[in-house]
Parts: sequence; C-alpha cells; structure tokens
Amino acid sequence: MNVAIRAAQDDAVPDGLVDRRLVAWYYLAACFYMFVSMLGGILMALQLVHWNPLNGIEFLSPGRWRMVHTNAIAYGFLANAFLGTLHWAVPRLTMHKVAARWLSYFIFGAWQFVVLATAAALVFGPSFQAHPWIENLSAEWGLAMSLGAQGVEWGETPFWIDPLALVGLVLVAINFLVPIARSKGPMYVALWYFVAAFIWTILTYAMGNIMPEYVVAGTNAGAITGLFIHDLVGLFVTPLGWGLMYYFVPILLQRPIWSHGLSLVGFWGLAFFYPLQGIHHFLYTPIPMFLQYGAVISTIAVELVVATVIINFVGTIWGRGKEVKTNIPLRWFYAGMVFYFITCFQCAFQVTLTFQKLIHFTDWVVGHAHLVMFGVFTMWLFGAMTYLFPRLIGKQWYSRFLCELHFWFSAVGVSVMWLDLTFAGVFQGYWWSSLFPWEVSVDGSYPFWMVRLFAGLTIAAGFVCFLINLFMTWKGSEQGDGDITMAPAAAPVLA
Amino acid sequence: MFESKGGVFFIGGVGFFAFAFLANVVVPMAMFDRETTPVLAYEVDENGVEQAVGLVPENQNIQKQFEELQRAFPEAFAEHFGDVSDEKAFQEACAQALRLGRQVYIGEGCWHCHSQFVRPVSNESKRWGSVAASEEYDNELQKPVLFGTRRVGPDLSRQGGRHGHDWHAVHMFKPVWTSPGSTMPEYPWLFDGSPDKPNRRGLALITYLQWLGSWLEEYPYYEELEESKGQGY
Repeated sequence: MNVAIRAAQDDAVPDGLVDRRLVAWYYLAACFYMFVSMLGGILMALQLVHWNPLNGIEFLSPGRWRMVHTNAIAYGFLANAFLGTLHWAVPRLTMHKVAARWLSYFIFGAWQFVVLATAAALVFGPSFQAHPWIENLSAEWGLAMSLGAQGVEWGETPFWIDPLALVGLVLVAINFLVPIARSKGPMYVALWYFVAAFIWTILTYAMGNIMPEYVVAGTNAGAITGLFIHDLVGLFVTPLGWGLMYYFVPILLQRPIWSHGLSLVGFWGLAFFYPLQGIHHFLYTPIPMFLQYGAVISTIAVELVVATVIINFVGTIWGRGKEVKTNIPLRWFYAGMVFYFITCFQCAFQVTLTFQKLIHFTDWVVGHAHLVMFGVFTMWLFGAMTYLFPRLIGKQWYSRFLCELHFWFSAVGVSVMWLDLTFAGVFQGYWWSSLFPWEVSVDGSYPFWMVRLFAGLTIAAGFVCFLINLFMTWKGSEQGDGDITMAPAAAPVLA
Repeated sequence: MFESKGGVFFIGGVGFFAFAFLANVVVPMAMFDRETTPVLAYEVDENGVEQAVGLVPENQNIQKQFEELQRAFPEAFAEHFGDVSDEKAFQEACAQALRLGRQVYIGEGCWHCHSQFVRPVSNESKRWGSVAASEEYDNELQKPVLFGTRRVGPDLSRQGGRHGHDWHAVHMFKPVWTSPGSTMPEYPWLFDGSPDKPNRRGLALITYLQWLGSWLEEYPYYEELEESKGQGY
C-alpha cells in the first residue's frame, strides 16, 4: 500500500497522467444534476403535504418529476461523479493514462446527451403519447412503450436512448480497462472493484433494459426487474463506491488497509452473493417461493460480508479516529461507512418475510433507499469532491465553515429523513393490515411527510452551501480565505 | 486467481453474474414458459376464417366497459376514437385504448404510487380480493410488468369496475373532489378543459383502469370492510 500512497503524490506522478480539467467538468455536471434531482424531490415532498403550488401544470407534474429525481441521481449525479473520480484514480493506480483523451471527452459529451435526453423524454414524452405516429409504435412495431418512460424502476430511460447508453458504458469500460491491462504486477484492491464494476454495469444495464421490455412478460419479467433494480445499486454503484474507499482511505490516512485477507473476503463475498438477491424486492409476489427464500438467504449472507469490510476499515483507522474531526474528506468517508453499516444491518432484518409483511410498499423502503443512495454513496462522492476540487483547480477552499455546513446539513438531514420514514413505514403497515379505510394511512402519514420535507430541505441547504463555496473558490484567490486546510496538522497536504 | 486481472474479470465479473442470471432469470423463465397473450391479434383457423384473439375479444367485461365509456362521454369518445359501430373497429379501438392507457399510466408515473399485486399477507385479500396469481400477468400489457414497489395510494390490480367512468374522470381531473385529503397530483391535461371532456389519453387511461382485474370472476370486487368498521376508528 505504500506504493498507493506514493502513487498519489504529485512528485511521483508524471505530467498529464490525469486530465484535471475533465475531472472538474464531470464534477460540475454531477452537481448540476444533483441540483435538478433535489428540485424534483422537493416537488414530490411538497405534493405529499398538499403544498405543491404548481399542481396541475403538465411539465411540472410530480409523477414525471419523481422519475427525473431518481434518474438524475443514478445516471446524472452518481455516474458523472464516479466517472470523474475514476479519471483521477485509475491513472494514478496504474501509472498509465486512460485509453484515449478524445475518447474520454467523447464519452463525457455522449453521457450528458444520454442524461439530458432521458430527462427531456420523461418530462415531455408523455405529452405526445396520443400522437398517431407515436401510438402506432406499440401496435405496429411491438414496442410495448412509447417515447417516454419505460415501465421499469431505475430503468425509465426510454428505449431509443438505451442503445446509446450501452455503447457509452462499453466505451467507458474500454477507456479504463486499457490502462489497467497495461499495468504490471498485482492489482490494487480498488482495481478489483473497478474491473468487476465495468463489466457488471454493462451486463446489468443490458439485462434490465432489454429483457422485461421485449423478451418476457409477467412474473418472469418481475424477477428480472427485481434483479435489475438490485444490481444497479449492487453491481454498479456499490463496487465503484467501495473501490474508491479502498483508494482514498489509505491515502488520507497514509497507512495501508488493515487486513488484505478481509479485503479478499469482502470483494469475493460481494461478487458472489450480491447478484443473487434481486427477487427480494418482490417478496410475496407470484414468483416461486423457493426463489424468494434464496434471495432472502443470500441477502443475509451479504450482510455478514459487509461486516468484514466495515471491520477492515475500522481496523485501518484504529487509533487515529480523532482525525475525522479535522479531516473533512475522511469524515465524509467514515460517516458514509457508518450509514452503510446501518443500511445493511437494517436490510438483514427488513429482507425477511416477517418484516416484509408489514413494511413492504411503505415509506420504510423509501427511507432505506435514501439512506443508501444519499447517506452512503452521495456522501462518499461529496467527500471525494471536497478532497479533489482544490487539487483540480489549484486553489484552497474558500471557506472551511461552508464545507462543515455542507457535511452537517447532509448528515443530519439524511439521518432525520431515514428515521422519520422508517417510523412512518411501520405506522402505514399497521394501518393497512388493520383494514382501516385507505385515507387513514394517508392522513396519518401527514406529520411524517412534513418532517421529511424539512429533512429534504436541510439536505438541499447543505448542497447550496457547497455550490456557494465552489463558486467563491473558483472566483477567489489561490490561497482562499482563512484556515481551510483539510489534512490533519501532523500530515502534509497531499498533491 | 483471486487477485489477478483475469480472475476478477472472468470469475467475479462475468462468471458470478452469469450464475445469478441462471438462478434468478433462467429458472423462472423455464418454469413459466407460457405464451404472452396479445391485446388483440388475428389468427386464421383451419377453415381459413380470420379470428380475433387476445385480451379484448376474450374479455366480455372490458368490452362492456368500453361500450359504457362511449355512452358516458359520447362526444369526447366520437372525437377521439371515431366511429366504432362495426365489431372489428370497436375491438381495435378498445385495444388501442388499452395500449395507450397503459403508456399513460407509465408515463405519468402512476405506477410509482400504485402497486399491481395483492399479497397473501397483511389482510390484503380482504381489502382487494384474490391473491395475485402468476398467470394473470402473462400478457402484452405486463411487458414490462407493473408490480410496483410503493403504495401511497391503494393497489390497483383489482380496481376495474369498482368506480364508474365519471368517478375516474373527476378523480383524475381533481383528486380531492372525489377523495378528500388525497395527495394525488391533478392531471387536467388528460381533459379538454373539464372533467366531462376527457381527451384521447384520458379515455385510454380510464379504459386501462377499468380493465384491471376484469379477467377475474369476482369482477368487480368490493372489499369486506364492513365488519371491521368502527373498531377504533
């Protein structure tokens, strides 16, 4: 791991290894989509508490913007932020440039087209569904969907964008696998995760966007849809996120990962058990019970694997935990890991049929989804951005205070939202099973939805602090304003 | 092997994905190897006579509902679906309405707040009727399947027939008029100005909603809430 630390230091990195401008562009794109996604989330939250001032406006319909909310996070924010960070991490881990600079820029442009076209299709597509030419697509050509959304959660990307997105993902894999193939010697743990994630993402995307739409219908399609929802988190977002942790944490702490053996257990355990769990999203459906049991058991198995990974990272920081007070990126990373552990611990229970009876379809699941997508992966990527932005534009952060606000608003906001929605889910589950009229569960959810609205606004406020800080840093002088050093006093600032 | 590029790529990346694909995709596909019923198709039988098959010709309930829709909104229906006096034109219009209605249901995000399967637990079969069975979903309108993962509003898989067309029209135009306290957004763009004038998308969506559950004997299903009413409420 000492090599990893050296590789991260600029004096060991040849000029032009990392295209800093491209990383910055990816981060700016990611921030733009995060902002859009938050607007969509707030719109839906306002709708639920009867405060939506824009109700009845077609292009601002909460139903459509709910899909923009999730797609902008998955393909806008997460994909762009991961790609940006990979353009920093992969060349440094392999000491080779990505396959081609023009390819990187082409992918950047193509991916923005994919995301923007998806958003446009989700918002405007449904308005043209009754157009004869578009309506005929389904009858004449057997295309079961219109130009708008596809009926697969996280896979709403319209069918005519799917091929381009797939080509983009293949190009991404080539662009990063070339430097990895060129590197000599054993691979870093981070690279195991990246290599697997590149191929998994392609396979997952192809499966979820082709099979339930064209190949199979009904229950089988349900099994595939569940697998797709699950794999998108488990085989695209999770391995890239953990790979980045295996890269950043040793650098920030300047010490190796605690146990290489546990790293092996963590990676191979995830690789084996994670893809087997898809059906746990559709328990008590007509999918055969033995397949549902299999999904439940492998889900519980992966929680044990997760525990080994968490132990490994606790072991890595052991004795120097206080550094999270001063080192903000490190704090983002370890806070994300705490949330990850909570998410997975919760999952080991909620995946059982006993819990599912009560909490499936409720806000419990929504809380869980926010905890993992925002509390873990978004927080890790915010940490990476906080660490890298000064290195990308060669300036210190404008204000450490705004960095702190960004962290605390995000962490507190998502904690409150998760707790609130988890409790809401329990109440909703009991209202439904007690056979109260449906509106009892809607009226009863009102206070929970109100708390959720303000938790969401807190998260958004944190992000606005980040944007202000970013703008002022970009505009300001090289030294920034005041003490903003991110690294602990003992260790020199890297890069 | 476990730390090499080839091992990670082929065993972890390709191999384990393929294994999961086998277990979670190929196995259910082999178990439910049934044909997907089209909404409407024409087959030539052994006597050389063309016959209509599919969801519409084989389902009296949805045909009746579509007729009633024409009676409920005669002007809007004539404007958006034209003359459907002969049987073939009627069935084709009904098939178009089902396909388009399902697309509206997806495009407007209905499926993000309404599920389409009844579980055997949590008293759901009392509220909504028979537990979901696999063969209910083997048709064109479940491609991709619309099980759903969240219920802000109730499950809709047995919704058909429980409310009249006019109720659905008013409900979509302004949900709180029929369901006080509802958090459902308004969908005035499915109408030409007022709830008595649904446009093509609006008529199609009503047809689709009335179709849900129309294949069951217990259509329409009304919940057994009477006995539990008043207990603690």
